[in-house]
Amino acid sequence: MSIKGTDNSEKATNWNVWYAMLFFWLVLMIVFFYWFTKKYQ
Amino acid sequence: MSILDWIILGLTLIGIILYGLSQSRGQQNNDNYLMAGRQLPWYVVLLGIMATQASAITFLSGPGQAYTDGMRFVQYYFGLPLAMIVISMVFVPIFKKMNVLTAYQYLEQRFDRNTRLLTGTLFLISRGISTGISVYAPSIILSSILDVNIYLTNVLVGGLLIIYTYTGGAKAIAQTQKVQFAIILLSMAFAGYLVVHALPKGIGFQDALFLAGKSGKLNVITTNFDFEDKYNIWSGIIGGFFLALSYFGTDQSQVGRYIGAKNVRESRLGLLMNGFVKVPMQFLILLLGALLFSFYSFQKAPISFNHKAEELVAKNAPKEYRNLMSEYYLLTEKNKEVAANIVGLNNGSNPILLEKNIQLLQQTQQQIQQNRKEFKAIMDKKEIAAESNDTNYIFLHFVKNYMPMGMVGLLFAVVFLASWGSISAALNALAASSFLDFQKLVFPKQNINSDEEIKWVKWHTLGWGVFSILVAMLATKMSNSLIEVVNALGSIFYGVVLGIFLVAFFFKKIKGVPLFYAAIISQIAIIAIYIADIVGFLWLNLIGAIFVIGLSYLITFIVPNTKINNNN
Repeated sequence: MSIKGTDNSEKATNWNVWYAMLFFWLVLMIVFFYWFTKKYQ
Repeated sequence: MSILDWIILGLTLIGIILYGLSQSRGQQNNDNYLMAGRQLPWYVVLLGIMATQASAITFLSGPGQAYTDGMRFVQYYFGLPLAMIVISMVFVPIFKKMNVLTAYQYLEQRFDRNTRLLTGTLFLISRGISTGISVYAPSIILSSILDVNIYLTNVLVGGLLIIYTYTGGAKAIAQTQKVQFAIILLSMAFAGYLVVHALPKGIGFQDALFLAGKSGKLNVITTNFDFEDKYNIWSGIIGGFFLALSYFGTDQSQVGRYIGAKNVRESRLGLLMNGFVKVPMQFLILLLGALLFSFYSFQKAPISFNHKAEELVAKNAPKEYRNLMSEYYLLTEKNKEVAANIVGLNNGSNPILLEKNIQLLQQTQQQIQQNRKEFKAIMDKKEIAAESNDTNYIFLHFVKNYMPMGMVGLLFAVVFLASWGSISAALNALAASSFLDFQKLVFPKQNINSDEEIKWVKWHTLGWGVFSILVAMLATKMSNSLIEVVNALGSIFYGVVLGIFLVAFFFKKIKGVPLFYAAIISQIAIIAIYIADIVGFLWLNLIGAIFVIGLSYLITFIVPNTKINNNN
């Protein structure tokens, strides 16, 4: 489902890049936490 | 607490109230009062969202949780960034396009008046009572640690913020939340530094981490799957996603923060930034608790961090108390010695001896655990009935006994500010919803002008403030198990409310009538599942949403005419 934004500010920002960055940030954090757990447990 | 600490605490609180009042000018209509004139930039939205979610208990129970159960609690937040993405993609544009003042207003446009009324009422019940409990929860801890009457701390935690929430509305809330959260973050970062600094000479950050790790406190990721287990990676990602989706997408106290933004872009940026910073922030708060555990390995940790509860046991069961305490004293002495040995051996000089000491440490800690368990059993006895769960007292015990003068007052102020940030947003949301989604629907009155509307909303704000304090006062008379039930109220209602919104956004064929009945049946089913205690509470959000979607779909296609019979 795609819903376009409702104001002009929408055109300036590529939101899919933001969503992808946030997703990879989450993956990165989980990988880091996994390493952290293995290192210290 | 020293006089300087009391002065710092008092000045910080007065300063925030005055700042809130200074932000209260220029309120002409409900759009200004409830939505801050829809002019907020993304960083104010971000701090507002974070300050609304982070109550005092977040900062008190976080370190306590890591101290007792380890850091695995952070997994509870793994679904949050994913929820931020979905809300930014789907929820924000719809709410902004419809120009709504409350999330439930949209439901009337999409379905009918009854659905709006039902969802608004579910929100008012759960949020209204839980706001009262969020006054009570830090209040009882402050009352015990500061030795102040609980009724007074209830009024200080739940009452003073009403001054600027009543006069200034959303703008005053957003601006004070910005300052409150900045003070909270800086103070907590400094507290983290002081915990490491307070470790005995020769013991550094790495040593503290090593010790916490070997004591099982750095279990950030746990991969075992168990429906009844609250915190593992699966319940965190899946259950946490649905919880965050319900909370940020359908709870007016959060929706009100981001629909007050200047435009869709600022709302989205605020939400996405929350997704970026929330997990690391919680990780650091929990890390503080793990470090506290290492700190108390070298100090004599009390058998209960709630000293009033300990005093009650000493007074009412003196013989049992003496026996347990002498055993506990020997165990903590042994624990100190072994912990010091481990740190000394952690340079690779004698790995076999190190391993032996680690095993000895784990054994001693198990015995200490057993000792604390027996102590809790005494506290739970009917004739004593002390609060046996001391998790939320651990951080403040450290603050009060080991922090330098001045810092103690500031960290106690943090507890108040964190409470005020979340309670003020809740009062504003409750007032908006009870006026717009309830009073105006049930008692429609023609020709009500904006001056009268704003007066009404202010009365509602005041009413909910008083209601929250009353609930907090009543909670002092409730048993601990009843308070736990009240605490779980959010998870009982959230799933169904989320289900209603998901149907609204994604299932265009489903109309108001089937959805209304599906929501009521699902709500009863969720309450039954909760009472039967079949699954961990995080899963209730997912199950509630699935029930609403499935049932409304079924009713639409099985019962004739419901596809046509709508919008009445």
